[in-house]
Amino acid sequence: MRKLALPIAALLLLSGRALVGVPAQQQEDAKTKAENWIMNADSTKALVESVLAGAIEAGAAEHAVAKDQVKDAEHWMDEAAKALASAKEALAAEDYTKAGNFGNMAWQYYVKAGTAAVLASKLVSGGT
Amino acid sequence: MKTKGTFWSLVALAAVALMVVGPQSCARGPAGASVGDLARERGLSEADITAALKTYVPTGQMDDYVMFSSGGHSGQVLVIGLPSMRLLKVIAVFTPEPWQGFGYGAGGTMTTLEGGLINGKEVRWGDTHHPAISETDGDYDGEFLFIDDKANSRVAVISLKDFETKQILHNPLMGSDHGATFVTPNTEYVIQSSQYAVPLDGSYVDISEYQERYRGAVTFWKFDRETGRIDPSRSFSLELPPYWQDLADAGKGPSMGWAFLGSFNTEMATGGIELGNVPYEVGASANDMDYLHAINWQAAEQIFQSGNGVRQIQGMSVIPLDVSVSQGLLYMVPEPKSPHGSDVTPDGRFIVTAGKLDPHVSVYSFQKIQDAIANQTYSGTDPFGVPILDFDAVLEAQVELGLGPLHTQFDGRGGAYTSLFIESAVARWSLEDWTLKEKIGVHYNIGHLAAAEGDTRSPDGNYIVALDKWSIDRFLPVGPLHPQNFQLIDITGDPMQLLYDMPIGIGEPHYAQIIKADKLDPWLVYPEFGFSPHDMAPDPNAVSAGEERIERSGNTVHVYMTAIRSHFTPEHIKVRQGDRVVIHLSSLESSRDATHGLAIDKYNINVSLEPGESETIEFIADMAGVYPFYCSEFCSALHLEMVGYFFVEP
Repeated sequence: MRKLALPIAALLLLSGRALVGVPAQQQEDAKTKAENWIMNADSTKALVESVLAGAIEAGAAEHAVAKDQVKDAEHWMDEAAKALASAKEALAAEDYTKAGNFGNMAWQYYVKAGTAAVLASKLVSGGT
Repeated sequence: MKTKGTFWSLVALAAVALMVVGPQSCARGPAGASVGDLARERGLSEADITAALKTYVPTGQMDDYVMFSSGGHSGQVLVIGLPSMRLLKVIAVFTPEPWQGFGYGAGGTMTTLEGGLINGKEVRWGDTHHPAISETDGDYDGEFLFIDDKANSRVAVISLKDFETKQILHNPLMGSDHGATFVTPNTEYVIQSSQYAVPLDGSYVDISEYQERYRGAVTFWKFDRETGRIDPSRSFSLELPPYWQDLADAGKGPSMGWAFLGSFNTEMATGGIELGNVPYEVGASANDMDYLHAINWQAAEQIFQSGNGVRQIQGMSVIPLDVSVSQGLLYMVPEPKSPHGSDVTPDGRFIVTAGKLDPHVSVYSFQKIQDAIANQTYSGTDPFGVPILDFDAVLEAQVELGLGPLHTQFDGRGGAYTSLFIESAVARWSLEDWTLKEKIGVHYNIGHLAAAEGDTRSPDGNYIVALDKWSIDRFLPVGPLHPQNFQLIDITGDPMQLLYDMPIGIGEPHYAQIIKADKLDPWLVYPEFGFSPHDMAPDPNAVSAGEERIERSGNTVHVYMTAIRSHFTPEHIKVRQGDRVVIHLSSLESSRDATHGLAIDKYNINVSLEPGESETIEFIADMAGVYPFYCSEFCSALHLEMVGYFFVEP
């Protein structure tokens, strides 16, 4: 089992929407907002998948404690995928409010998955 | 990178130290093994040994610091010595605690707990969150401690003379709090702000009227050092928009007179997942920015004292939102995103906020805030007419730290330390060049962190304690509910060093404050005979030796009782079923190791009686029979003989 360097740098992009100091009062139209949420969820998904894959490659799925975190991450990945699919469906149907809400929800679920995946990585690397 | 040679040099140094301190040492431990052998056998690394040397406090020696930590769901406060991380005391606050006789018959403690009644109902637990040590000129003065109960919007006052709770107050304006407790620089006020908005008048209002009728609030509780109590009649509140206000901090130095509260759910989401509505976790995190509330509390104090526009709501003096707007008491500052901490730097020049879903901390300049107010550099107003200061005009810096930044403390050397929840780490960064310097992993999912005097004008800079949420693999398993984990970190060097893990098994502690031990001056025994801890003054009903007696007046029986090693006087108390019994109990002891208890079997009474203390116990003798009473402290060799009988005739 090799030590795993935490892919924190990649995960920094997890909350990419907030990197830019956009004033709250700057109103995006509902369509743009929904598209942004979906795009953000999609990119977060890719990052979390890579973190989780790294943890599994390092032995997290067989690790006595980390394996629970892997399962938890996988659960949230599944939930996120469902929400993201609903968001894209709603976007296609031009229900932008619903699309934005599901996109946001998908992103939240990917953050949960990412939290568990990061923890799995820490556990398998000895908690550093 | 240290080498093996360095490791063994250290072991040799430890061995020399042992030779110096004890005749039995000579590089051998008490059990006969050499230090090197012990280290090898136990698999200890160089870092382990330095950590042990930095934290071990030999028997009879004292710690350098005292940490007051919330006890989370236990409703209590933990008192812990640093660097040993030894638990010194659990101060009973919102929850009855039998060893200290808190809430089991002792009149003073019953009165204190009654202060926390909610609409006349006993609520005997609390979710303690944020302790605050009283301050003078922005530094801890070690006289008082305050703590909130998030679940029931209550605050408590603890005297650090006897480490006992003196007052509990319920704030009827709030459903729950979170920006509590924080004090202004001279403890003029204890700040408490709401978390989840409710109608301020306590009435039922349908959630469909959320924006119109639900409100947040911040209360400035006036603290009177002379009485050691909060004075509600001199306290005031500000009505706030129905955002969910979060942590608070008071300005100091140049920002003296102002207070800052973070907030989230500026979307004013109303949830209802069961109805197919957007759940709170989505609705309340839709905006990229929430609002830091900047409050001019000194100007608000003047409005309160003038009475102009002040409303009375549930017995509280409340400055309405429109008055706050028209009088320039309240401004909003955009802050990313679902923020948690709002922390004023030691020099009072900057406010640091951390958005849980943003990898940065944002640093605002107090001077720029003042300039923006003066020049009306607004980017608009919120739905309640509160001016929103232009983000770019007030921002000093943003520092990218990592995942899930929550809360920041300071070291007094230009260093800041921010907890990273998602990343399970503490980030050290610079207030001088606004750059990240270093991170250290913690175990796991840190919430708050506490630095030694780290939120004062002069932080001490030696240690931080990470208040971690889930220990998972750090301790022997004790079932599915894992201990929380306090981790002591040495911040004197570069890199930081993790020194010690301390499991906490009684709740989720949220925040702690660490004070230099020599700033505390607690009593070791009560200062004079017949002292009432509740009144912090001599008890007029204190009983001296030779004055013990039993007096009946109608259906009330007064028992004047003393306790001294190893007897109570009187030892036989005879009453009739249904009588009201009032026991005036005084300790005749003056030695610091002579605590007594009075436990009356089956009557749910246990009083702790410290040397010199006087207490009153009142109850109805509603059960006929014979009930032994005894001293519940192992007070002397004849402790078991310190007993009496309570006879209740049918």
